Amino acid sequence: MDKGTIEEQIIDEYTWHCKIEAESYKMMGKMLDETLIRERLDVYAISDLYIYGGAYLAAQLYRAVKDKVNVKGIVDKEGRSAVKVDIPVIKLEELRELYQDEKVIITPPRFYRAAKRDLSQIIAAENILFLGEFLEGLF
Amino acid sequence: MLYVTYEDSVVHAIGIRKKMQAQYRVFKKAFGEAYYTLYRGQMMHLYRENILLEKELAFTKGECNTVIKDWIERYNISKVYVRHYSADRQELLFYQYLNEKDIRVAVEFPTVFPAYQGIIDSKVVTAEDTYYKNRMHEYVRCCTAYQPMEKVYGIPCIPLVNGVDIDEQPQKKSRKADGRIVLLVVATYTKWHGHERVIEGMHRYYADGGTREIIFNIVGSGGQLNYYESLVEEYGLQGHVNFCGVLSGEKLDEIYDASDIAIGDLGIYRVGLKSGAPIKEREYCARGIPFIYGHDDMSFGKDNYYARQVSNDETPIDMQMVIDFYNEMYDGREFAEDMRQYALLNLTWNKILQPVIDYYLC
Repeated sequence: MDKGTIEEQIIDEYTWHCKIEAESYKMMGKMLDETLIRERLDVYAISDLYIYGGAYLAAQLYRAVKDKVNVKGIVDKEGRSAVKVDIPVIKLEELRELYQDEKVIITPPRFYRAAKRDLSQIIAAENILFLGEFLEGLF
Repeated sequence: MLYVTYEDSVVHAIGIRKKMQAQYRVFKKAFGEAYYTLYRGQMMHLYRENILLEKELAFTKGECNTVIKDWIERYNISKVYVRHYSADRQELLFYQYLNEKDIRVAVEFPTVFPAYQGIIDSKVVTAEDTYYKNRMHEYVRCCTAYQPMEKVYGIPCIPLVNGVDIDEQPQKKSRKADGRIVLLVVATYTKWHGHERVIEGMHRYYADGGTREIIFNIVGSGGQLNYYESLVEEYGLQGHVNFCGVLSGEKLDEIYDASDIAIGDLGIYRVGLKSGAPIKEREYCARGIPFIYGHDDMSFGKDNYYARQVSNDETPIDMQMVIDFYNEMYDGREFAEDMRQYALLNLTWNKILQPVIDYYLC
């Protein structure tokens, strides 16, 4: 069996995108469940939080948790948020100055690895969570 | 040694998780260093015993396998046991990789065709799964399954039965006879459990003027519970059927102690199967509670007088048969020790997985 024809590679690529869309949709839904959000915040003992990512999943997470914990800011590489929010949107360099042992939840599925790599220079591994992990992970 | 699981039911279905952990402990004992993977929240996790060693985001089977291959190389894994979920091109590539690296692999099929009935509806998924399953024998030399088969999808098969962790199943204390017969089922209820057959049987018994007090304790959760509850209400059996919720530890021990006869799986005909080896019935055996089950089972037959087989169809369970079985068992004979001894000798994972360990070592 070869490693994959062009057609197979195209299908793999589509599969990857399709899976991300499906999982993002699922995460969006889970963020509407207030009880779940409360439970998960308790499980991870989160009181102060940064949200990584400036797109819709980040905005939805902010809305889901803002009345339950202290969201100290949204971290985005470009310092932008797709949806207007009433908290600071900061760049990674600013986080480096402000960070005080809070949990950081990474929201963009496609850029998780790059985001984790960048954050790992500032933040201990146990304080970095992926959104899916926060919503339905092992703990 | 690495035990690979992909599906997130391993995490949230207690029975599957316990089984996987018990198998893992046997492999660890046999091979020394052993690891396992768990998938949840789009993350693949690597564990040694209960310690999380690594985690990595993985959306697709291909990404999962890329992560696993990295761990195989970094942790010098030479043996892999895969709990099979569904086959696809990426899985075949994974087996090809293991083959090329001379890593010995055994694949466990928790269910064998026709396993999809009522579980997976997508024709595309089942067609893909079937196509790639039928190619797995190109790279996989050994599989395990819970059915008495020599080969599965062309792969030589070691038939397994589900095992039990004796230490986690204390022997049941005997209940003082009070004229009642207390039935017990412990499960995560799906439609192939078929426990409505007991409720239907109770309904018929009382409709026909039956007078023996029969109680049915239903422990656990699951999608079928609503259906059972609606039947109980429809038949007015509220005084006879107790929905106890999920119980564990001492509470579970107490309800075993307060019951006389346990109920195993009664509905596997619904997924097109004739034989099975459910963990629950092994647990009943280890605890020493006589039980009724509705399928062929490699571990239980005529010699196991404490296990009463009924038909594998939708027939309501005959309560007169239940009463007769109760009277046979509770005539003063000592059966609990027999049952536990049988479980110790035949139903522990150490014993059951020995042929798999031999395959890895030969």
